[in-house]
Amino acid sequence: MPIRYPPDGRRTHLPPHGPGRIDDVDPTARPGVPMEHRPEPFPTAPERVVVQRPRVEVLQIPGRKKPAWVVSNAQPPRGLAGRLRRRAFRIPEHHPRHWMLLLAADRLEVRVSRARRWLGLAAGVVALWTILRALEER
Amino acid sequence: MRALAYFGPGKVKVVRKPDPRIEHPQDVVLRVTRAAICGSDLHLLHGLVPDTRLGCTFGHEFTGVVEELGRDVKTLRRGDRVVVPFNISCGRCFFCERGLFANCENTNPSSNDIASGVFGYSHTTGGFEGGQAEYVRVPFADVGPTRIPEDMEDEEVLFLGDILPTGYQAAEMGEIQKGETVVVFGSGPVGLFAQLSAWLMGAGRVIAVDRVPERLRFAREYNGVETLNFDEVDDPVLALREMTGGRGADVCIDAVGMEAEGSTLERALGLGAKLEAGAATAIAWCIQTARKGGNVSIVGVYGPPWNLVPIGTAMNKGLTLRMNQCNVKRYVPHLLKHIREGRIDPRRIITHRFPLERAPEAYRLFETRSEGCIKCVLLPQGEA
Repeated sequence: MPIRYPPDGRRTHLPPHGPGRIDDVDPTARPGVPMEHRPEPFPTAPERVVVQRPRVEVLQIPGRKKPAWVVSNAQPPRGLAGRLRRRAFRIPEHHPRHWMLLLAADRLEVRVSRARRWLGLAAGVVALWTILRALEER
Repeated sequence: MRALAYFGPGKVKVVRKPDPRIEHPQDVVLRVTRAAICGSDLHLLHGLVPDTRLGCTFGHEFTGVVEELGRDVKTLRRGDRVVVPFNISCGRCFFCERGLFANCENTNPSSNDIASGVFGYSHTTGGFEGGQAEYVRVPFADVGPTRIPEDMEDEEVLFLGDILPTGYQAAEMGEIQKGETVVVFGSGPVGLFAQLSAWLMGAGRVIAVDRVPERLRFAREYNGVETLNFDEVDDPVLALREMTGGRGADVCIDAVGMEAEGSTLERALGLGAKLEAGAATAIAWCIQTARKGGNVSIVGVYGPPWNLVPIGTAMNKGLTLRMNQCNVKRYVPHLLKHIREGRIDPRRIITHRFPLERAPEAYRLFETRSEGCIKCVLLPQGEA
């Protein structure tokens, strides 16, 4: 297959080696080198850590040796999707079933939420129609 | 408070939510002053990240003012302006002690394999509420947040929370040597900072690859890089080989992630049929474009459980593959210095600002990359 080149713009600038633009040439000057440094606690890390007690159900992946120190209390598992999520969290995360169930729960939650909205709307219409009929019959 | 909330793929709204509160002695609550929309927020918006629950608030790149403090917070005071890394890290675990803040084992109960807790990034990363809201709870406030110097504005440092260190770490993981050729796939915000960082590390050539002409034009103006629009060539890998003397690039960086364009097969399998976790086209192109013995650095976001990647090619070419979520906290002092001394001007990539009420519109604009959009920033306190 022949290569088609773009009409222009492939060689537009020379490298901007202005003052200071090559400050980090020396790899040892780069803050993440080596990626894993000698173990030391972060200087301002708390000395004493309290484990947060969740106010809602927090799903935890199987295989964790200890609870997380902080958790979120937002959007706890609820309803049918919540049941699927609880089931997913009985399966370790290296099994694709764990993730498939979570994705299925996400989709189910959206469907249920939309169905609930439509049902609410339909119920409203039926109620209005019933009231109007009752008024008419009077 | 008002906050952005997710209501299913493609749908976000601004709703009323209860104000966050101190849940742990090392928490603070911030009044959010700036919250950026990140490319990886689009993966959430498109329903590609498992366990993204209805009603959750996105946003992992924000600045704010400390409003409330937990009783054990020592380094911050009420009224301090701070920029917050997207990772939530304890500072004390096996990984934090080694500088791997993105891999903290004490902040994400939902996964051992994925990442630390992350603000506003689904329950797969702990379910913590994000910063695209008027207020946000920030755990481990003595570890994550960095006080903003008094003479600096929020927008100058906003991107220290994610995209600037992520781009820098991408270049750093490429182990760039002086004079080497670096190809950066993706010319969005992270790609732009990866290109700039490659120059800082002494690259001899930097080539940006994307398909959006405005983004490539911006990359040329902002970073002085060469560009390749892969829509304008039959085969981007061959075109890049040709541009690099037939041998390939020394370093290739994936700054795209799971929603890559460029391969119908990958998109059909990953984004259509969901048989893999999104489209891994950028990783494939990195592997195919790198020279033998070269380095591939991946900071584009991919999810579980798997992707189609030409690992045999990588093995046979003797490539080094390096990747991680960004260990933001390690980079903040260094990059802050670059910003102060004028080597990096992150504000220039902000093309659009919106009050929080118009966040859905901002998402649409960012998603479609229309009106030359590079980066959208939300102003939850409404001073736009």
